[in-house]
This record gives sequence, C-alpha cells and structure tokens, in this order.
Amino acid sequence: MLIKKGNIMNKIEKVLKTQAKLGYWPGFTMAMYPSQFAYDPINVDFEKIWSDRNEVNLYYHIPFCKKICPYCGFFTIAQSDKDYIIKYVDKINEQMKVYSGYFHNKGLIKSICFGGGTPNYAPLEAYYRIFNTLNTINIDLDDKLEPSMEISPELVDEEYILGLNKVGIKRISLGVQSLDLDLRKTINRDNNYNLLQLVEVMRKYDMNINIDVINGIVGQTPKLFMKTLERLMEFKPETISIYPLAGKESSILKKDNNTMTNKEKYDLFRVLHDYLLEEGYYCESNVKFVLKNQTSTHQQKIYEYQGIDTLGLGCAARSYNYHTHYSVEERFNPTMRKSLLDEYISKDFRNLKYYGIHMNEQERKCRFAIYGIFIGCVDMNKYFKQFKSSFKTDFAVHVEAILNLGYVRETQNNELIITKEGRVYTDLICTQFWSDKVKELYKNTDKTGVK
Amino acid sequence: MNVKNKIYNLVILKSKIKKEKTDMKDSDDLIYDLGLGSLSLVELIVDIECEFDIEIDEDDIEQIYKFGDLVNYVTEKVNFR
Ligand SMILES: C[S@@+](CC[C@H](N)C(=O)[O-])C[C@H]1O[C@@H](n2cnc3c(N)ncnc32)[C@H](O)[C@@H]1O
Ligand code: SF4
Repeated sequence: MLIKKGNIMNKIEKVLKTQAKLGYWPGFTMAMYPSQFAYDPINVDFEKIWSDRNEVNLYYHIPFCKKICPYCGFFTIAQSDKDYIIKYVDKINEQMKVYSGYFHNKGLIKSICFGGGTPNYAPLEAYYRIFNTLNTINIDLDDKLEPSMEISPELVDEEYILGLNKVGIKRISLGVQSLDLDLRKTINRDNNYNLLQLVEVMRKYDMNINIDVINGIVGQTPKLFMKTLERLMEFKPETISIYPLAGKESSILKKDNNTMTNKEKYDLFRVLHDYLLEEGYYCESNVKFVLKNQTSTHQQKIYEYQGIDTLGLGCAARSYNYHTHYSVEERFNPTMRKSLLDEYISKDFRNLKYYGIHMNEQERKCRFAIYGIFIGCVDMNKYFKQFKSSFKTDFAVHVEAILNLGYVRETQNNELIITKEGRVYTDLICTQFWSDKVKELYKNTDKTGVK
Repeated sequence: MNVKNKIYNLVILKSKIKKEKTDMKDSDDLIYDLGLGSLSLVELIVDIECEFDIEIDEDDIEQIYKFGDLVNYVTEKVNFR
C-alpha cells in the first residue's frame, strides 16, 4: 500500500505520477473522444440520429494534397485533377442536401470548417459550389459564424485569398509547422513563400489567422522551436496551435540524440506556455493559445467541447453525433484511400460501409470529463444537470488524484479548473478518464489516435 | 515467493508474448522479446512499485532493457530499503 503524508495514495494518482516521472506520452489522442481506435463496423441510421439535433457544426473534409508529408497520417491523397475534385465536391453538396432534410427543426449551423488534406489544393470553384448549396437549402447560419479553412502556405496566392474572402471564409489556419529552413527540408516542406507577406495579404482581407506548428520534429531542439514562436510574435496571429509530432507510438526508453524525449517536450511546454502568456495569449487547451481581447478561435472545437454535434461531410470526415460517432475511414489503412474516395463519389453515402461507436451514457460521461479537462474547466453543475448524477461520485478516484497532484483546483462555483501542470499533462490525465472499454481497445492497437 | 517469480507474474500480465516461466531468459528484452509497449511498461512499473513498495528512479529506468536487469534492479532496491 502506498502511503503519502498519512493518506493512501490512490492508484490513478500513482499511475499519473509515474507516467509523468517517466515521461510517458500516449500520443495525440485527445482531439476527440472516443478516438478512432475504438471504432468498429456499425450500421448508421442517419435519419433517426439527426432528426432530434438542432444545432450542428459542419466539418468538410477535403482530402487532397500536392504531396504527402512524411509525418502525416490524415486521410488524404496526392495529385488529383480538378475534375475529380469538383465531382467530389458535388457529391458533398448532395450529401449535405440529404442531411438537411433530416433535421425536424430547421438546423442551425454553428460553425463551418474546411480541413484536410489541403483545402486550398481545390479550385475556388469548389467553394463557390459549397456555399451556393448552403445558401439554398433549409438551414440557418449562426450570426457568429466564422467559417474557417486549413491552408498550406506553400500553395496560396492573393487571388485565392480574395476568392475565399468573397465566399465568406473569415479565418485561415496556416500549416507553417516550422520556420527553420533546414527542419522544413527534413519534413519535405517547400520553402517558397514569405510568411510575413502572406499575413499582410490575409490582413488586407480581414482574415483572422491561426498558425499550426509542430514540436518534436527530428532535429528540432527546444531552442529552434522557440525561435519559430518568436518569429510569429512579429505579427501576433489570433491563435497558435502547437501539436506534438504524433504518428507512431512514442517511446520513453529508446532515445536517439536527434529527437526530443517526451520529458523534454513536457519541459518545452512549460517554457512556451509562459512565453506566450507574457506575449498576451491565454492557454485555451494544451495545444492552443489564443490572443487576448479578440474573439477569433477554432469555433468548432469549442462548440464540440460544449456538446454540440459535428456533422462530417465528405469521404472519411468523422461525425460526432449525440447518439453515434462514425466515419467511412477504415482504421489506419492508407492504401484504401483512393478506392474509398472513388466509392464515395460513385455511391449514395447512405450505402457506404461505416466504422464508429454507438455512444452510451458511460461514454458520454467520459467525454464530458475529457473535454472539460481539455478546455480547462469541468463544470460539475452542468454535469449534474445533464446526467442527474454527481461528477465527484462518478469519478471519485480520478478527482481525488488530480486534486492531490495539483493538476486542477476546485472553485466555489463547483468547477474544476486546470492548472499549468495540468496543461502539461493533459493527455495523460485524459486517458485516465477513458472508459474501461476504450482502455481495453487502446491496448489492442499499436497505433496512437492520430487520424 | 521470491522477487524473480513475483516479477515474472507481473510481467506476464502485461506482455503480449506469453512465455512460460521456464522459457523466460534474463536476456529477454522487455520490448522486443516480450512485446511490452510504452503504456504496458509504465503500468508494469507502477505494479512493481506497488507490489514491492519501492520507487523506481526515473534515471534508472533508462538502463533497464531486459528481464534480468529488472529483476536485479528490484532485488537491490528491496534489499536496501
Ligand atoms: C490537415 S493539416 C492542415 C493543413 C495543411 N494540409 C498543411 O499541412 O499545411 C492539420 C495540421 O495537423 C498537424 N499535423 C499533421 N500531422 C501531424 C502529426 N503527425 N503530428 C502532429 N501534428 C500533425 C499539422 O500542424 C497540420 O498543419
Ligand atoms: S500535413 Fe498537410 S499537406 Fe502534408 S500530407 Fe498532411 S494534410 Fe497534406
């Protein structure tokens, strides 16, 4: 039995402490819960599961890139011609029309996000068609809508940005990854653009900007990473997303001198956290920092944390519906991508084969906890309202552990607020809130949850 | 039960490759021969810490690659407790 200052240290506390001590990192599995490794083949009753939903996020998956980056596990293919992409987009519009007929009340679209892949690999025509469809079907668009698009900076010019501005895109997320020229070469990214010039163009059209950077690229030292961040401070993007390089399972034991260990990455997080706070940002989650005194952020994620469903459109887009999470993507099998895309284009989406998970009360409770921790606040009153049971009873051992370790503090309003150390170990904490079923499934897969 | 037997029982609970006690060699690599992943390795360490009421130092863990290393390390810790 473990004794700590006269108390019995609970098992979760012990596990978390040891994991932190050893520098364990479960991979970037927290972007959604349950992660894709928990998906099995399922039947989806589309009409039934969407009929009672009123507010939805739209996620458009645009799975096309110029070339495939060595570290990337997203569902995307390289070098598609324009006609193929337009056919794909027409299919997406068809899919959206069918879905819009399912909502019993007129659906209210809370957020729109184009991800990929490289959405800017598609011609502007694609987006004219998508927004035309949205404007003609029976849905409402939320007043605060800030349509957002992921963009590869190597492939965009002023004309394209102007076009996006005209269709209504208000936020651009640039996949910068690193500004170090040598590191960029090692991850096969071109060095053909000038970030500051590009930013100037986006500002000219009033676009809000997010910058994606990766930490843990082979050869990247903490110092090199901070240099990239410092250069971003020259123009202060509204948000900065910092993703630890994921892909294969990270090892705590085997080290090569070129790669940061997980422990070094945890230390780096502490440094960059303090740096960005000093520069006027706040920490929204362990992977996102938001500039203060402005409202732009990744709306879709925030709404997902708040419990709003996401309708995924296009091949391999995931839908996070209250009743069911699903996607057509076969687990971790990149060789299937082109044939899945062909199938998506040629068939009715309702006749495709789906993978996913039917959500039960237990999974919803775990999801509530995990998303609360991810966003930095578990609102235990809201939990009680939603589940008619007490958070502290349902997760007694967990709550005790994370309070004892100083990863959260409790407020008088019955909230658990994450601390800086809690941010450092968010991914570890979240895995402790997985259901037994999801934990078991994770052990049986040797991949992390990156898409 | 001696330390080695206890550790064998804990390892076998977590390893993907289930070796008989008599087949387990000191030179068996925890990852390559016994199929432990990062997560199961951490769980194993927690189990060992609980079972023997010891703390495994973070710097030491990097030296422990093989079943025999683990047994020796824990034996030493238990003796010098
Ligand atoms: C779909 S990509 C977005 C845009 C665009 N295709 C690009 O790469 O510039 C989304 C982001 O995920 C991140 N990402 C991709 N693969 C990753 C990995 N293996 N580990 C961590 N982050 C990754 C990158 O920062 C990337 O910008
Ligand atoms: S990182 Fe971006 S550009 Fe590279 S393959 Fe992935 S989606 Fe495409």
